[in-house]
Parts: sequence; structure tokens; C-alpha cells
Amino acid sequence: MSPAPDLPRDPLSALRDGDPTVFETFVETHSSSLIGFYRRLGAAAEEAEDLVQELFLRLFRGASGYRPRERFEAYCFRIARNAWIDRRRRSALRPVALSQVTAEDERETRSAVDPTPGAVEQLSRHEEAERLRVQLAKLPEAQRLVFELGVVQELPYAEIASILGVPTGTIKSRMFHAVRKLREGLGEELADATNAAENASGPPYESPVPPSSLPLGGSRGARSR
Amino acid sequence: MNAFDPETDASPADPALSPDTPLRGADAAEAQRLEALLAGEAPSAGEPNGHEEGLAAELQRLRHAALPTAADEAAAVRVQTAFFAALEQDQATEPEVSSALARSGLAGDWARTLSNRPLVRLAAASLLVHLLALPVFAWWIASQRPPSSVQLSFSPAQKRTIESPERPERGPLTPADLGLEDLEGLTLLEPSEFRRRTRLGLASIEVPIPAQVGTEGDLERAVRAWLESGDGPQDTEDAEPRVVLVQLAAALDEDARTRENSSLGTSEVRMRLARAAGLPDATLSAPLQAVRMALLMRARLQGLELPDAYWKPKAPSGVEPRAALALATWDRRPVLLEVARSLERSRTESEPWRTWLEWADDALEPPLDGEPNAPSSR
Repeated sequence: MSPAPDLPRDPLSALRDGDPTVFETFVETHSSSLIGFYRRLGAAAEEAEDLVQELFLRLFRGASGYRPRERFEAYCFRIARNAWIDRRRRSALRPVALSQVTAEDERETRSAVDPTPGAVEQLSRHEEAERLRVQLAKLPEAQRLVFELGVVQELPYAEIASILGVPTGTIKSRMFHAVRKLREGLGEELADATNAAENASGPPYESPVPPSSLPLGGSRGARSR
Repeated sequence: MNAFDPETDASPADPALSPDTPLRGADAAEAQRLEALLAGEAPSAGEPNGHEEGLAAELQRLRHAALPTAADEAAAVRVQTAFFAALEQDQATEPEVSSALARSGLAGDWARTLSNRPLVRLAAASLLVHLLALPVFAWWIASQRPPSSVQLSFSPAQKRTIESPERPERGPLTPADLGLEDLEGLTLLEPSEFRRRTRLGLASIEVPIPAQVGTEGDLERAVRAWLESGDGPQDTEDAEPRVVLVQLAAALDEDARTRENSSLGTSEVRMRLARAAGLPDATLSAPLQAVRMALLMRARLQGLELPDAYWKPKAPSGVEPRAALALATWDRRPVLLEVARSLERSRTESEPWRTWLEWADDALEPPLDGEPNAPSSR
């Protein structure tokens, strides 16, 4: 998920030196994960597309003056975060209602999911992602961003601190609170689903998603640890 | 410690959510374990315990949940298509810098070599901007002159008339208002002729519109079908000029019901239509609705009479100024920049529901007393 681990070299340095192929590869291989990044921060589907496009353009246009003072990953997410903040300021973005996110995503999934043997797996992946996004939306943005950069994008704390301009201790604290709240939220969600299934009449509830692949594995006990 | 940020942080009243609250005891130890796990370090001391393994597994599941979905992958394809198309446009601007250098006395290889250096590129771009700004400056100087019909002495009655003029009843804007006398009615000219006469660069596009178009939705469906057929913008040069801007704008309207039936994403539709209409930057920087408004504004400026419903903003937002700015950039018309500025002002004033068309009319009205155009309060 990290922006450039599978690239032969820093895309912007290569671009500045006249080799656009690495940057093209970066665009092709990382568009979807960056769309996920913005979606988890709270962008609507179309907005996420716009933001990723804008990010690529900013990177591309800044290549001539690019001086690698940090890893490309850190630079990329610094620009990505700036684009997100700019967008929110410019369009006075209102937080997207969860119901809207869900409706949009369901529509996307209907059109994107292929009715082939892999479709069930796709649907399961979509539901997992949706659950995570719903819980992330409940976090303060600062914690959401730290979780995204640390857990999903796997950046070290020092780099996250540099990107966000806060001390490493703050990152540690935000990460702790973010992970704890996510564990609580996802655990409660699963417990609610299980209770609903137990109370329902008719055949026993069968989750389309294998329990092992659910976030946190439904362990409410994790909270007390 | 960083100061509390009310925009991004949770309420400081909730110590559990405040990043400034130092972690203590078990929480601090848990945070430490989390950091070590995320850094890929082996479990701290002794044998790995169940707790640590459980936490590692949960982190792994969270990562798994964040893997791109099918919808993300589909969106990624749209983004890549649009980005690479935009890149082509971006690269097409490079020769402008070289030619500016060539005009300033540097030519050939020197110009090419120097144009690769950031400072020289900056200087060349600055030169280009100044050259482009000259006509605007000349227009501004001209607009500062008092009207030739104003005399130095007036009778009191004349003076009152000048000081508090009756606002004349204005009809719709006509092509003549913009010096486009040759344009007539709803039909655009042949693309090449249109460009030659107006230098506005709008392509006329043939879209197989059904004979009976009931709603904008019908129209949008028709245009989308046309785009999906692959015969779209490529045919602009040879197309019969029978589609008007308002139809194109309607095609850009966001309509979730019709979008459901389309295999094209909004970004791609926007890109194709905006490119076909010759809107370069709006493709990327303006939302779909802004592109639509820009096209409607263009239609209005060409003298098209459209129902009020077309102009009424759905809610106070930044869309209208951005539409005007997109169009102003497109046309490089100072008067439209003034429209955009007026619109921007309107957002902070007490008339958020005033239509942007009224602002446009104000800005286009000739000045009565030598003052620069300014929006009046109604």
C-alpha cells in the first residue's frame, strides 16, 4: 500500500531526469490505493477521483523543482494531505453523510462487481472496506490520518510526524486512540449483527464474509485487554 | 506538545480523544506495543504473548480491510485515463515557453536547453504572462476614460439624470453586446468558421438527439449513448453544426438516475465533453456542475433565451464563480473576470440566492459615469 515500494526508483527524480516511465508506472499502480486513501479520509467517490488526479498533477508539475529531502512516500503523502486540505477549504466541503457514502458505494459496487466466481470475494472485500470506512468516519480527522498513514500506508512514526508537523509523541497517542476506537467500533458492529441474526426467525444467519476475514474477528474481548 | 486544533481534533473536554493528553500506565504500554508492531519489530521481551499476537492479527485485518475494492479499481482506471489525457494538454503548453524565448532573441538549441532550466522557464513564463496582460491593461486604461458624450457643464436637470440614472429596461444579452454580430440564433456556425470569427474555439458537435426530447435526462442519456458508441468528440471537425451549447450543458448535468445506466464515470464524461467543447482547465479544476454552468453562461452570452430554472443556483456555493472563472480563462475576456469577481463577492453578501446571470448582466452593462463596472444592490 505504501506508494512506491515496487518502483525501481523515485518517480519524481526520474521524471526530473527525463525518464517519465517510472512516474507512469506509479500512476498506474497506485491510483486505486490513493483513491482508497481519500475515501477513508471522508471524500465522496467522485471527489476522491478528482483529488487523486489533482495529486498526480501536482506531483508532475512540481517535478522540475523537486529535491528529494525525504523519502518519496513521505513527500507524496505530504502533497496528498495538502491537496485534501486545499479542497476542503476551497469548496467548504461538508462531511459526507454516512448514508450517502453507503448509497454511492453500493451503486459503484453494483457496476464494478463482475458476476463471475470472484464476485462473492469482491463483495466481501467491499463490505469489509465499508465497515472500516464507517468506523473511520467516526474518528476525529487527526486520528484518522494517523491511522491511515501508519497502519494502512505503513509509514514510520517519525515520517508521519514530519508530514503532519507534530511531535512523534502526539502520533503515538493519536494512533493509540484511533486503533482502540476502531477495535471498539468494529467489535460492537459485529456483536450487533450477531445479535440480530440470533433474534431473527427462520434459518440461522450466515454471514457472507468468513469470520476470520472480518476486521478484528469480532472479538469484543479485545477491548478489555 | 502541539496546541489543540479545533478543526481536526476532537473536543478537549473528552480526555480520551485529546492527542495532548499524555498516555499513562497500561495505555502507554499498549501504545508502545502498537508502535513496535507497526515498525515490524519482534515482540518485546521473552516469548510472544497472546495479547501481542492478537493485536498484530487485528492490525493485519484492518490493513486487509483497506485494500482497494473493485470500485476503487474501476475509479482508478477513470483517473488514469483522465490524468494522461490532461498530461497531453499540459505538455502541449511547453512550446509556448520556447517560443517566448525565441521571440526574446534566444533561438534553436539554446532556447530548448535554457527552457529546461527552472529559473529561465519562470522568467519566460513571466514574460509570456506580461505579454498576454498587455491587452487587458489597454482595455482597463480605455475603460477609465469618461464617456465621450459627457460634457463638463450640465443643467441641474441633466445633472440629476446623470447622478441618479434610471436603470433602463434591459433585454437579454445579445451577440452584439459582445461584438459577435455575425452569430445568430441557436445554431452554431461551422466549427472552423466559428473559430475564425470568434476565436472562442468552441467545437460544434453532432449528437444523435432523439426527435422528441422530453427532459434533460432524456438528452443526457442520448449524449451518453453517443459517447459510449465511440463516435464522440473525435468527429467534431466534420460534424454538422446542429447541437447547441445548452444541450451540451444539459448532457453534463449530474443526474444519478441516468448515471446508473452509464458505463462511463463522471470524470470521463466530463473530460470528454469539456475537451470537445474546448474547455481546457475546467476539465480538471472545475466540478461537473461548474463546467455545465460555464457552458450555459456561454450560451447565454450568445443570446440564447433560456428558462430561469437553468440559472438559479441550487444552493449558495462556489460553483458559479468557478464556472465564470473557467469561462473567463477560456475566453480571456476581462468582462467575464469581472463577472467572476462579482460572483465571488455575492457569496459573502446577503443575497446568496441572486442568480449569477444578474451579476453577469450588471458586469456587462456599460458604465454610466465612468466608474468601473460594479454589481449594484437590488
